[in-house]
Amino acid sequence: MSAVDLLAAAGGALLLAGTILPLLRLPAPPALALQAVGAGLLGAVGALVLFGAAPVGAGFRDGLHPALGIDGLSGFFLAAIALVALPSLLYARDYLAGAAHERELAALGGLFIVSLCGVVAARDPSLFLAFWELMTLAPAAAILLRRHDAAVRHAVFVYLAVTHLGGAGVWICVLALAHYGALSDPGALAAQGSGAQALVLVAALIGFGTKAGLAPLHSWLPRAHPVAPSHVSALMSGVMVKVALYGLIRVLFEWAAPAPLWVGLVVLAVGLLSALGGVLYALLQHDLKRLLAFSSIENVGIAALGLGASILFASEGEATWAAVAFAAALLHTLNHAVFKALLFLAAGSFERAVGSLDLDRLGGLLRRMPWTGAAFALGAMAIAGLPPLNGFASEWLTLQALVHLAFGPALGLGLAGALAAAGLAATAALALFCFVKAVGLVLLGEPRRPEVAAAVEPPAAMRAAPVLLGGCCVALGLVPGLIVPALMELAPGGGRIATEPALVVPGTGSLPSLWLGVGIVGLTALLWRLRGGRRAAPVPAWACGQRIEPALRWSSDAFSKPLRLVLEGVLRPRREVEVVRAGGLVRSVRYRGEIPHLFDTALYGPARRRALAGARVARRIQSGSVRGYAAYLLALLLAVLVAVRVGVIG
Amino acid sequence: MIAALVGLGFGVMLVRRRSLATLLVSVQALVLGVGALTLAGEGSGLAVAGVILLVRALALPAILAISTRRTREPALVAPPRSALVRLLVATFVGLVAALAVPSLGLADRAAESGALALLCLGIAIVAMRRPAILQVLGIIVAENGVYLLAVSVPGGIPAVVELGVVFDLVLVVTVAAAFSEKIHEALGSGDTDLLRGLRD
Repeated sequence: MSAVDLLAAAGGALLLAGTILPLLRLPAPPALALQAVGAGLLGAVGALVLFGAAPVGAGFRDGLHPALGIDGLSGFFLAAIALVALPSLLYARDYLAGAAHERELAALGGLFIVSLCGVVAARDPSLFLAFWELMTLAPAAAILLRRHDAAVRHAVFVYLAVTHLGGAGVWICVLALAHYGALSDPGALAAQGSGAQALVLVAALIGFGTKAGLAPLHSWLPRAHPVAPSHVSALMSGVMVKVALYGLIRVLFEWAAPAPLWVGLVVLAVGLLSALGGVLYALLQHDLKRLLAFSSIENVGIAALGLGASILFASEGEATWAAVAFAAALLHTLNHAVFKALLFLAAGSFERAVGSLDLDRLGGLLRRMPWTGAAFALGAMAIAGLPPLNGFASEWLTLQALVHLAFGPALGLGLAGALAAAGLAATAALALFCFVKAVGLVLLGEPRRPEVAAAVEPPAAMRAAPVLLGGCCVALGLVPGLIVPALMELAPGGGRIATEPALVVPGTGSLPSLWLGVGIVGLTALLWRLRGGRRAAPVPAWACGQRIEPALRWSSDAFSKPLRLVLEGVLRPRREVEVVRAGGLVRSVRYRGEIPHLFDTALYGPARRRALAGARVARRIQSGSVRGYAAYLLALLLAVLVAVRVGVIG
Repeated sequence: MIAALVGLGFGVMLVRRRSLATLLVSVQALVLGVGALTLAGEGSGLAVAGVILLVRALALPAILAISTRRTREPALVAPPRSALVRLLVATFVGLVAALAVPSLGLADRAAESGALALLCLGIAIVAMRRPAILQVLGIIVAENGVYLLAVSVPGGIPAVVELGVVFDLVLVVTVAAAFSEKIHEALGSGDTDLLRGLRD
């Protein structure tokens, strides 16, 4: 057994111990520490395997014999899980202190991390599916343990219902792959013909796509992520949706490879829909955590754009660019895990400090919570794709791949690439708009409530976690080129670029990220120095002669109003104006506005109504009589026997 | 032997008294168990067949007999259909099952037909009889059909599977008997048709 094997075994054992011991009355802090050390060791093993160490454990097998192992792709995702889990567990130490069900929540958090690591390390269908289900159930239990009012119960119900309906796709896909022997021998599925391959691919797109939050299967995500405890939200948005992408990548690029052209186009289209739809609805949210949840849909969409482009490049025989697009998707997956975890943890601190995350009732938190506020601002800049932070690097690489696709020789693919590139550019612009709004309403200006004015920094661990993740945003933004070559090697066709801090892409130039960072820091220092001792003088704002009142401040709705007006035909906002008159005079005017979620009203609403109508019809055969049910069974059995006899079946 | 097994199944469909039906199922299990013992050879196979015979022919009927004694009915529950209709249904179901059964890979075609006929007859008993105990007996008749299939497999099936199945059966019958008593306690009768009122 090698040293890496021992490290992996020790990491797994410690993580399990940290999960089980709280249930045996061990206090939460040491249990969280054990979980952190375990997750850290597993992440380190993952990074070692990613960067060239020999794979650990077993290879994939088709039978139901439980096995675990770590190869390069699993290693990358284990490292990403650890990168989010470590600060989240550190945060949880103070976040859970004194909370109701502290030990149980610590255990469930550990179980969630075990399930995440388990999915990426599973090497047989039984363990994969078991950990997959556990990954769904553990956060649901944590949410319900923390809060169980009607709204939260409904959110958890929708989460479990949608992910389990979608999850059927995962079961079909994995069991079909095992049946065809394609888990251990990726060529086996292609030998079964295009019908079997299409079945597996469609099931994978539905199953993994639902859990990843890809539109239009994302309905559960903006409901479930905001109601979870903050360290669980960070893990859900930061890594759970990425683990779903891991499953999708395994199927599209390994078990069912080579994926046909139509799959690439579908993934590209779904990615574009998710990216644009996600950011658009993020912009329209009033609640910070819901905004962040919609933004997760956007970022998963960006990663899907990279994956779709990679399949299209591979179908055209452009192996190097297929690898570049693949690496862009993985890099964005990692980057989003880091900054989204940061933003959720910081949002949790804001909520703890002021009791609400209503964007119109915050303000001025940067001055009152400088560490958390600065980390939040850094995360917002990263997610908005500002250089030299990590979000910029991965979006730049994805854009390069899409632009290269747009200029390819095939007209159809060129058109798809051009549309996707334009969509990504629009997404980036809208994301910047969205996070200017979030930062402006949360961190800047004057406090809008007394509780906000009295806000103070959380305890040290809750401050340190977002700051650590902020450091990762900077580091990954400055030296992305140190990771990208290793990610390119994970692509099926291989491909390699030079390992250096900057991103060097064949043919289309490079992104000197480190020098860009140095330049921005130097320019900032120069401006700071030139400013000298001068300070901006505060003067009253001109408000057409009116008194400056809180109602005149920028609100969340006011910020996104121009966009709402432009997109009114798509968003279809509902407005209600109620005028109360008495004695011929207008006494009061009440206004209520709402922007319905289009996917809910146009897709899920009709589907739900039809399902309920079908259930009402089906209920007629539910007689409530044991004898009646036995008669159904007998009729079915005899019908099957007769059908077999006359050759209709078999 | 197969004709005897099916005939006893017909008996369960027709008789009105629960105690008599239990006796018929016990005899059916005894016939089946003796057949299994003759095919079992020697050693552990014989011991397993013996244990299964004891459980099926003695333990299960004993559980049901105790339950029957503890849930005395003021009057026999009227069957939903007359004896003639029940006989016709049983004949139809048995014939269709016996004739339609595809080849299951056993050397003995009669065993295949008999097993499927018993399986379908058992389910038909559940569908045609109202008292809970008689419905449990229907399940045992159906299970006897499956056991007939198992003992007809050349070389037999693994002992662990046979013991596992009989353990499941004991569990099912025990739970069903307990439920039957609860139903009787709550409704004053073991008539399962009364449970329809519980449907929302």
